[in-house]
Amino acid sequence: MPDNMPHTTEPSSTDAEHSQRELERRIFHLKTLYDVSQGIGSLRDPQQIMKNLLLMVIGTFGALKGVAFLVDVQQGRIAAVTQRSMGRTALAELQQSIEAGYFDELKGVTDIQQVGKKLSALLADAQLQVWLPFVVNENFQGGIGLGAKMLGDPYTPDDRELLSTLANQLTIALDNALAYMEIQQLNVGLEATVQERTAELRGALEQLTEVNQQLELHNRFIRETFGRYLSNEVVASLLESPTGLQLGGEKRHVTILMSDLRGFTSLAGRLAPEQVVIIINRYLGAMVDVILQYEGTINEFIGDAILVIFGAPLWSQDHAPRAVACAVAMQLAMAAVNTQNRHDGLPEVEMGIGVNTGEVVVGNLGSHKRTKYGIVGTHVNLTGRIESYTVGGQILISEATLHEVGPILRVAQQMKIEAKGIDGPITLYDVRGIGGEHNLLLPEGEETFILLHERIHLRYTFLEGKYLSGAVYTGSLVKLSFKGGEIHSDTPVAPWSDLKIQLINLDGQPIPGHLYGKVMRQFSEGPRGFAVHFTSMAPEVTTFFQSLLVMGAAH
Amino acid sequence: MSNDIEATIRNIDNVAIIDIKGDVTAVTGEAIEEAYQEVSLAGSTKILLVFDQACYINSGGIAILIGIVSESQENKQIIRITGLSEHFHKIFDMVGLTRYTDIFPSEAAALQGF
Repeated sequence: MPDNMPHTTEPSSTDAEHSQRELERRIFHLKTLYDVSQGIGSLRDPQQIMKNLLLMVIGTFGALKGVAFLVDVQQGRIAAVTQRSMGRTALAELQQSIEAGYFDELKGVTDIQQVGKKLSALLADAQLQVWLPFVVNENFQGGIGLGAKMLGDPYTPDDRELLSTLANQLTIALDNALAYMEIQQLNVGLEATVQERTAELRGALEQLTEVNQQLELHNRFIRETFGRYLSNEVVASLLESPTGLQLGGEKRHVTILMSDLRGFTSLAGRLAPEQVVIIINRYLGAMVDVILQYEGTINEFIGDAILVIFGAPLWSQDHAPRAVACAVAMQLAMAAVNTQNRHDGLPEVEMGIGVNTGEVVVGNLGSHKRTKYGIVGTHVNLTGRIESYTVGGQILISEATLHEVGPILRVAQQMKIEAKGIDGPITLYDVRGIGGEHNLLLPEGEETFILLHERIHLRYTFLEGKYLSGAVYTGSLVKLSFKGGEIHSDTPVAPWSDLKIQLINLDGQPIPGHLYGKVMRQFSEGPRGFAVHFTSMAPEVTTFFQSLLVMGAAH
Repeated sequence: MSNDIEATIRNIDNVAIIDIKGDVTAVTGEAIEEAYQEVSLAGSTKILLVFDQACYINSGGIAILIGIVSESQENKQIIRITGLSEHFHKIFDMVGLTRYTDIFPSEAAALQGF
């Protein structure tokens, strides 16, 4: 070494070894800090965090024993505890003290000094040489205690500083772990809530499915019950608002329409069954179209008769005018029916319609095995009576319907009748059309009567319902049209009486073939007699009348 | 650090030898504890811990060894250690483990006079 170089005092070998050891000790401590940050930072279990940290602390200081615990002061229980060589007694005492409420006064306390004082007092008998409290949050407090070092040295301030640093790392790791647990518990709670809600939703879905099934059954019932006899619009309205439909039975103010083919029963007897079916189906098909167009509820087909309700099951304010308009439209539609009949070589048919308005009971009628939406009440019977007074092409309505429809109604004449089962006379009105939004009129074909060159003698009897009265009266046909005639007879005849007429030829022999008619009016002056509308006649009679009419026209 | 550790047991002349391969940490140290429990139950009073020189021992692992050494004192067992690198020899010395157990430069040296 050059002399000009300053001399430095070489450290003694003991000092150098000491410095070397101190350096290695510090490196070891730094390594421990690194290992702790790596080893517990990623853990999520407080118990595992505490255990790993305690082992590292013990290993770092060479402590013979140690304990670390975490107390949930709110719950008054040990949240995590770990120890090395502490013995069962010390831990049991710790457990008992905590459960006995030792930490009650620390609830919500975050002052580490206060917590440390309490904890050190608790572990006074555990022969711990160093004690470090820590506070994770207001609910969790804990401590790390270490016994004597293996070397027997006391814990230095550097040791305590390192221990404090490690405790801080522990606090951070525990805080994260507890937050993670809280989130997990929330997740569990959330999952439970989700499961609960899912179960509720599933239950609701099942209920909804059940309701839907019931609704589907209900809808199917409505479709099956009404689908064939109601317009699509009405069925849709019923399905959209099923609560508006009370099928259990209720009183309703409705208008009832009843139609019937005049003289069809006797006509059917003379036709082949296939022809009857063709005529009936053609007629009913045309009428159903019209009825559905006017949103009537077809309640029943009785042979060639149709019973229709307006205002039930779906209520509508304008049931009466719609019913009358429907009746007029039905009569108008008969022209097309008869055109087709003529085209097919089938006889023409005529229909009478009765319309009445009143309160009836509507609802499901029948037994458990078979129910049907139906209608009952005196007004149904009255409608049938009114219809029975009609002749072909005629619409008769009751006074109630007249008032209900109002001034838009076009009426040709009115008549009083005594209907069976009805007290007192009732007035019927012969409808020719309806105005307003419907604006429908029946054709005003004036019936032309031809005065017969020679009157035709006849015998007649009254029909009461479907039965003959028995008494036979005589008269003579003096005028004739395509639809009726004028008969002279001394017997007083009430209007609307139904007659069965037998024509007699000049030789006094009956002319083959039946003839039915309805008395339209009685003559008030001149010879006694009445006007009759033929409701049914045999082909032979038709031929006979046609020949007379042709001859009369020629004259 | 590796989480894998092997602690295998063999016996030579009434000495239970536990060969330790892998990193000794708070987590992996349990394997050594189990091996120690096993030889203790077998009645071994002489136990030699043979460390692989390549292994790493952290403070957690040292704590495990402190626990074993402390327990061996109570069980009247003698524990010897060998195979440590110079670095870990110093660490053992630093924490005081060498006060309770002897560290030998080789297995043969450790077995000699055991």
